[in-house]
Amino acid sequence: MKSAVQVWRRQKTNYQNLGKTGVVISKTRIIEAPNGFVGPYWVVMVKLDKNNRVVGQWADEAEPKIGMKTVGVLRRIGEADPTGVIEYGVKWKQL
Amino acid sequence: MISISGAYQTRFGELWDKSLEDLILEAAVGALADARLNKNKIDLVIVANMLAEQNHLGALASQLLGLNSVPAIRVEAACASGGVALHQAVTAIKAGEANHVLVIGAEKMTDKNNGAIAQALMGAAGIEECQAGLTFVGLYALMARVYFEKFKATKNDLAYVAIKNHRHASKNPKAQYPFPVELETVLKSSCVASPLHLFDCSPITDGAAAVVVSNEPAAVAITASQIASDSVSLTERESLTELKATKIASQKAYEQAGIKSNDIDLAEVHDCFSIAEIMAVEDLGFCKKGEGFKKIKSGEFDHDGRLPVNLSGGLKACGHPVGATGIKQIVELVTQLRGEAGQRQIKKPQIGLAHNVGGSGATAAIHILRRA
Amino acid sequence: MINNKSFTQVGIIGFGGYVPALRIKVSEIARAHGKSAEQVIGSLGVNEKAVADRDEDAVSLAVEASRIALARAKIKPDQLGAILVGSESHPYVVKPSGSIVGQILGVGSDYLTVDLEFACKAGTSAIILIAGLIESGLIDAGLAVGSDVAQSRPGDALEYTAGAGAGALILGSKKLKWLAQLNQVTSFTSDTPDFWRREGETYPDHAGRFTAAPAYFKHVIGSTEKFLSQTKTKISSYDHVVLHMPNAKFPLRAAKKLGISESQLKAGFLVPETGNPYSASSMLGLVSVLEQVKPKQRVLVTSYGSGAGSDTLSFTVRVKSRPSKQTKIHYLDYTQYLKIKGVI
Repeated sequence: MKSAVQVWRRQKTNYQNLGKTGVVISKTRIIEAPNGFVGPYWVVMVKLDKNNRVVGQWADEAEPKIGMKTVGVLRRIGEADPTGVIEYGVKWKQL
Repeated sequence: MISISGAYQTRFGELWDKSLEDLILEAAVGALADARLNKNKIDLVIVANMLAEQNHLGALASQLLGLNSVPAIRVEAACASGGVALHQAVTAIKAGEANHVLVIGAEKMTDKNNGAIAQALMGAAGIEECQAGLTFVGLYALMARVYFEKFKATKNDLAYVAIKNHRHASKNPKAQYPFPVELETVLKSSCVASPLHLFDCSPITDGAAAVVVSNEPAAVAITASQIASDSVSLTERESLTELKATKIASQKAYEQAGIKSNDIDLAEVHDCFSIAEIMAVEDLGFCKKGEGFKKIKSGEFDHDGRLPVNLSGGLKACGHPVGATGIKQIVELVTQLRGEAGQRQIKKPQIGLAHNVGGSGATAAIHILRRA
Repeated sequence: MINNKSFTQVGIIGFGGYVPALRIKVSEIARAHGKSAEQVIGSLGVNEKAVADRDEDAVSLAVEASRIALARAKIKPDQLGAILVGSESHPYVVKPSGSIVGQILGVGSDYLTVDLEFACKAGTSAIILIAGLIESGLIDAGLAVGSDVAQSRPGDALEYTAGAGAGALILGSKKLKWLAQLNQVTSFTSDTPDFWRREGETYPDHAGRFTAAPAYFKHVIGSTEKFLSQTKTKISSYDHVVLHMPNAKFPLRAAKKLGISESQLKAGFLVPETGNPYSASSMLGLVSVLEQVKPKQRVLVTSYGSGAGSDTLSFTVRVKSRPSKQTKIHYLDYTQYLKIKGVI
């Protein structure tokens, strides 16, 4: 179960890329997911318009392609434990 | 002269009936026996380990060995724990704090299921990498994808790393997978995190290795010990197709040893994933940037090639008990330099290099050993 | 008793809707249960419904809709003095969705929030309460959201229509630029157990055919007729009418009884392609209308929430707004749908 305090502290950074735009520069389809996630899903590395890079889960049905324009959207991060605190953050969709 | 006076590795594999303590003890006793050193001559014990829930491993090792009051510490640098621990041993000897240091790298991984292990290993990654649902396979997969674009490599080019390392491991009785593999098998293996498939990934392994580092002459001398760090997060790196920490640490090591990269006769490099070995041979200066996958495919780094890489079978075929790997690499080099490597022995090697990496490249430890 | 009050200080300054990109066809659900697709579609008038992805919930949908509304309103998030999120699928039973939405939108701490629940009408009730706060002068801008990821028991009739979506409306005082003015509101309530969900239960229960005449129709018609009589307006004077849409048949039947034409319903009639997003139903209908209105047109909305009650509101349009971008739709098969819902 996620620590409620840690999730709270991460509020400072979890939403900072919401609505930001960028370009997909790398991608991988995770087949074997770690505990806390249900695969398969794509993960992308995005170069934001400000030039810094971020990684995030892909939240679009369309497959990500290198060079694709993308925008940050709000989603749940990881599988929420039924009794624990829910963490929200930014995932990436085709723009 | 700082030397490796004793070296030993346990079998690597799914060792269900061995606990972490069993592995630590077996490796330590083995190294001391190989060194023909009484345990009471040990001035410092260093344990390299990443994942153990048991803390205080230095003291635990001391207790298991029945060493009273010896300074004992644990070193953790993800998968570079072993190499960094060895570096600490060298540093302690240089500082005059010890004459004989026992360095034990050990990891017990198979008590947990795969999902739990993947999650635990992500402790060596950045928090946003964990939040993105990445695994270490995924992190290296992101690098591989960029490497493919930049250097026109394909997923199939990765296969030759596993083929070479399995061929080498087939001569290593301590390896987890001591058998060769066919190209067909490698290419058909299931996807783990695209474009990396099962045979692109080192396995989950239990095992331990230990060395005695001594402030006196022995058959094999340490002529360089260097470490370097880089950002934990992949997104903060300057380049996604090389490991800067490897480049910097190896450049410092060549300088310290007074040699160049083409003086190396054999190397144990950190092939946690096939793409990692490809980038490693480039970053270590064994070939030009972007040529790694071609040179591996053409046999340049085979046991009978210009510069044999991963004669032990590497992380892929010998196995990768995280904290043990860096020390195992040393054990293999020592064995080869002494001429004791049996079926996988290469002809009269003089200088060997060990390359141990932590995380997705945040730490690199380079050691150069020379036949004394 | 609710007074016959004309609002003078309240207008719509922003609006936004978010419907998930995933869809499942009613015919696919029918196939999975061995039912006739033709018969099911014929009886409900719904072709497909929206499905929230496994990492979406009423809060994430509310945020997406609210961001669009904020962009239209052209205000800073901290200008919001109140946030009311209405839902019957709040992620927490205890811990308000409103505070999470407020935090993510960057509203700061200087605002009032409390969660609302009244089955499918909590969104429009949020509008009424926000309007009251603005009219009284307590706040200058407030966010009203209806958002749901509707639950339905596999195999139950509701499964064909229980969808997902969020509709957000930002209301503002005279200090801000109005896209439309709020004219009047009313509400019509009774304790009618047509559809309910007990605490701890995943799926709601309903009383079958009882959900029609004594429930939906009594309150939708009752509230609308009361409103028309109080405001002394005729139904024909409204260019656009939005009625709560649990399926296509109920609102069409209610429209007939109230003398509402199909052309009046058209702009907000989303249910055939989105299904029923519960608290977002009337809200998304209103959002859709607002994307198509011309200045001076008049809009009437009557919502319905089981349990039971209806809100009726009317607006007069000031400014024409540009429609929002269409998202790419992706169809699921029933197995994928069950996996996303966590049933398998």
